[in-house]
Amino acid sequence: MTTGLLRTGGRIYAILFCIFMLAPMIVVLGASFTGEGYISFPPPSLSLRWYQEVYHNDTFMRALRYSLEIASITAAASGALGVAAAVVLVNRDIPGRGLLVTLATMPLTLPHIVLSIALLQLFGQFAVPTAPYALLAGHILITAPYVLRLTMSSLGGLDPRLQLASYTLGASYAQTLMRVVLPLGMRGITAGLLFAFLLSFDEVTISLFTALPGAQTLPAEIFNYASQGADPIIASASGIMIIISALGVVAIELSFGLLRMIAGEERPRRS
Amino acid sequence: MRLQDITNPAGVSLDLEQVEVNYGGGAVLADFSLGIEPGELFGLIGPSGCGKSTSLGVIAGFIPIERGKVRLGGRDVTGLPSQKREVGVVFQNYALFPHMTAAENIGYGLRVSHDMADYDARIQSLLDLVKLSAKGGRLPRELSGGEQQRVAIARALAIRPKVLLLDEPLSNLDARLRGEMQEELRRIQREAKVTTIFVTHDQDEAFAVCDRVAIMNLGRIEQLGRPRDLYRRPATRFVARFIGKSSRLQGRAAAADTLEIADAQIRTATPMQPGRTYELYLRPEDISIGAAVHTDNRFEGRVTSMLEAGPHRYYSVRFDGGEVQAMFSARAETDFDLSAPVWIGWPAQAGALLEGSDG
Repeated sequence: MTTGLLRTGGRIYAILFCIFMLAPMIVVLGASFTGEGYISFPPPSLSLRWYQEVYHNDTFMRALRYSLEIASITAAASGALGVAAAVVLVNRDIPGRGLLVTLATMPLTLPHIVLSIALLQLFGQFAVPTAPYALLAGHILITAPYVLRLTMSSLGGLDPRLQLASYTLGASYAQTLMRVVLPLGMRGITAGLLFAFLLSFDEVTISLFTALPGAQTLPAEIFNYASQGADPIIASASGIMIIISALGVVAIELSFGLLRMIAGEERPRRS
Repeated sequence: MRLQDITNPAGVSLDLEQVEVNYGGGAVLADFSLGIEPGELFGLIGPSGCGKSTSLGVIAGFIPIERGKVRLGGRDVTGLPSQKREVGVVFQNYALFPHMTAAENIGYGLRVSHDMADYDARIQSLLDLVKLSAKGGRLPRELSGGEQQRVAIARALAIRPKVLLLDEPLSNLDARLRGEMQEELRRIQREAKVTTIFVTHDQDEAFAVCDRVAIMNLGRIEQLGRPRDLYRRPATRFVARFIGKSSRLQGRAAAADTLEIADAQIRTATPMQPGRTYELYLRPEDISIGAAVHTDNRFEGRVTSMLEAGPHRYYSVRFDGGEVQAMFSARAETDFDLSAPVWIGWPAQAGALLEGSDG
């Protein structure tokens, strides 16, 4: 009787928790489909009117394209750097390996605003244009640690004997890397690339500081727009961000079990 | 395609000369030498930590050596990396590439060395050799343990290795399959004619499969020989204990042919130095039990326990000189009751007599 009650209570709590977590997303998405000229939830009438507004708004569309470009370049660069670092650091024989991995993940603990200011100073000193270079550098700094970590976790699980087997069969280090190690680490690498893309796509602080006025990323443009007033175009621009991010997460979840990877392989328990 | 075309026509010799390996502080192998004949199936056995897997790693080039030489077919390969040694390795867990099919696994060595002449035909012959002709397209996870192991063997043979190394290859298989694979290994090795080293902790397995066996302990070879010689004539107390079942009787030589243990006088055929301590290791089949026992050594004792083991029954009998285990055919109707007095006996030349004792 008590266990039954606990189970029902637990289930109700879990549902409430999910509602709490998803509420902002639901409110923004709901408000974005309003037919009215003001933001409200639930929307009094439904229409795609504000999505059409975004589509015809040059500023938002340019920002969206810019964001996708920056996120793609960030993912590619973070991917290359992070995977290369992971291949090196996953080797237990590297002296000071633990320290190096910790140092490489340090940017994660740095507030983005501090990082932005540091980047502005650094790039200013060498007279390098901050857009897009400081912007990309910042995004790579905050995303490469994820690629490193996820790739390391998938490579670290590989049986070292697979590499030994490859060597005894005559394969060089490079052949072993390309034919055995990286294909088997593909799950972690893909998850890392997607993470890098999504984090860069969502990032606002570094973009605000380093991008040029008039050539902002989408979240920074939404921030600018929102600071001058609010109409449902903000909700629909945000809606586009949510949808793109969600599609990415769903795609990776379907093909690679990303959420399970983060959660650490949760298995269904039987009572 | 003939098998000779896909494997080496004749095996080569393998020699380890005064090899020394250190991990951290202690020497794992010290002054270790071993000579293996071309085409031989050689067993390396011993308890875990005896250095057998280390020797394998030395031959494959996984483990650097401080001193000594490794020769394949007389050629010094000590400085060569694994890639250049042409040594095929079958790992304990097979280490098949999980993202490649059986055929792709087998062909891996040929592909990475761009040795593509007759590629398909060679892969097929290897699949035929290990009796997986129709399963080349399967992924490792779609194969049974025994099948995975055969893929691993074929993959190692594909590079025409000078030497094939098998690291505990049967330990992950169930008992029945293990028996089948022992015969299978023997057949494949004979057909491929490749010099093979078989590392295992299981002496029955090594005895069933190998031409010669070396028994290792603490980084040294205790004894090397044909399985039957190791069984019949253990040279050291370690080998006597490690190989097969035996009962140990420990005493002092009262005369050249008499071992004295407590109140019992035991006749021996091997001469002893009077006054020294000896151990006599008797196999269960050396000892007869019942009415008509051998008269060289004949004692009355009591049955302390009985063990049924299929074709045989083992009786433990306590007598004045200690306790011994005697084997008795399970076909016999006779049985001996627990605690009942019983005669045991064995000839003077039975067993292995070795000097020394643990005190």
